[in-house]
Amino acid sequence: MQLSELQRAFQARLLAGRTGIEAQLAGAERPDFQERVDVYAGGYYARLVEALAATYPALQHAVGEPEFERAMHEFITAEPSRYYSVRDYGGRVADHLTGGDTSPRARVLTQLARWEWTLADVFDAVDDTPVGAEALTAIPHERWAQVRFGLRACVRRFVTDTNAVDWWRGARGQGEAPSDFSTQAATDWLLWRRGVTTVFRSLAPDEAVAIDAARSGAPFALLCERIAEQVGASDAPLRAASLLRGWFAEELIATVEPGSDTSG
Amino acid sequence: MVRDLGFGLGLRPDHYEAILADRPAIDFFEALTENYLVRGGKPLHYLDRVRAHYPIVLHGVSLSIGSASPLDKDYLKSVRRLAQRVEPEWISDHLCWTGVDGINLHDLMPLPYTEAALAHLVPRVRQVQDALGDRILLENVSSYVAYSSSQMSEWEFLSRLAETADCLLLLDVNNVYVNSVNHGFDPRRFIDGVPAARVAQLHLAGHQHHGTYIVDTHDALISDPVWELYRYTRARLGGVSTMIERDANIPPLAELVAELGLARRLALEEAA
Repeated sequence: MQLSELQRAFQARLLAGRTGIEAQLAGAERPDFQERVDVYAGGYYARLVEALAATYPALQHAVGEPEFERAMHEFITAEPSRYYSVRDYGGRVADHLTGGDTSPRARVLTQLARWEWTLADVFDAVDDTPVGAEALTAIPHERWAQVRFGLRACVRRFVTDTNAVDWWRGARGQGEAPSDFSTQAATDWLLWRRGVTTVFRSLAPDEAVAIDAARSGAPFALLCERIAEQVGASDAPLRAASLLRGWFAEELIATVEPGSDTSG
Repeated sequence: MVRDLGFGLGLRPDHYEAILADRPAIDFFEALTENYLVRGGKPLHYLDRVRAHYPIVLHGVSLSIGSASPLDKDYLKSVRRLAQRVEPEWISDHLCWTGVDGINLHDLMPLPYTEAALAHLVPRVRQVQDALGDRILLENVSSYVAYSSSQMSEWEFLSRLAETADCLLLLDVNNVYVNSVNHGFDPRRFIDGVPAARVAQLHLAGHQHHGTYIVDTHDALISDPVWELYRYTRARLGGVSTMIERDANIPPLAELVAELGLARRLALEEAA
């Protein structure tokens, strides 16, 4: 048998339980022969379930180990790893969790899985250096409207309309676990890294639109317009200044780019 | 011949803080390559800091040198980038395959010990060494089954590959012992059978005995027969960089340092 056929047969045994490789192996007469083959077959699922549990500890906590293992088994069968690092495996777990179930429980679990994947994404996002508020002093007054604030590569946005984050906090021992799976009003979240620590907080509606505008590369004038739509034109300048101060203090900003000189 | 780094441990996240705070007397750390093929954040942050105080060797699990599918060039580029950052003493991986047709089983699957497999492997090892700009170390893996098509012993296969492809060897003493039980041979024949000048590193680890076979688990203390085989290996090979792998049930760093002390002691006794 060619090496490629041999390896495909062995792989099929692990992925789908398909027999065939056994005929190519020595020692079939041994009483422990199947057990030995199962070291590979069982180990394949066990290893990936363990890796997914490391990425999704709160999901595992929320559904309990038996359901988690069953769900991950289904996921692993549906989507074998195509990544050289097992850390990158499992990004689509949320899509496989509920199978069209629209109950609040299914909604919470899906958001919880996406939340944990986003945290993992922030954890090892590209390194960059946050700039301090002193970067603003170099900007001439007439260019302020065109200034663009580049957010750091680790900054992520997230929206929940369930108590998924409470479930996450409960699993981490940061407060009591909720007693139910429930939907609630939408909450905007911001996730990023300070130093090597992953942090997050909720966003007020005006800050959420300002962050989204900054992420899309909008200049400061447009950020102010977005904020004004939320808080009114008279309060917008002060609110924008306050938000900016916070963003610098919280290490959210990577670049401050003065716009082109439009003063004529 | 590569230099003898002394006695090292696997670099594990559980120990990052203790390593940096206590700077234990460990001669080098072996970092799992794939754990650091990331964009940024904590893993690279700590790797850089540990590297500032200790020599590092990189040890991969996804090269899949024996796969029937083409080598993953993106993977090789990523490893090379990491190596440029870390400047490891060397890069190792396993003599195995980890998947075909783009799938990664995340396991170290055994190869048949055949002329055809050797012919397949030799140009691939050269290709990897060209891509990484240095000779690599290939490690013998534990196995629980053997192929009826095999035409030679595992040590002959390993030795012929190393000599023909001009690569180095990472001799896992625990894996030699595990396979000697699983496949019924004298482990000293394996040690005697590998080209001493090509063995650049030794691994030690714990395993789990299942009555008629052993599973290589890296989750326990090194067993007495493996220590005995290590003593035999040192007597034959002399000073070769030695490290202990622990991947599960990871104890406090001090316990692993103490276990490493036993390896040092045995090596000193053997050298005396």
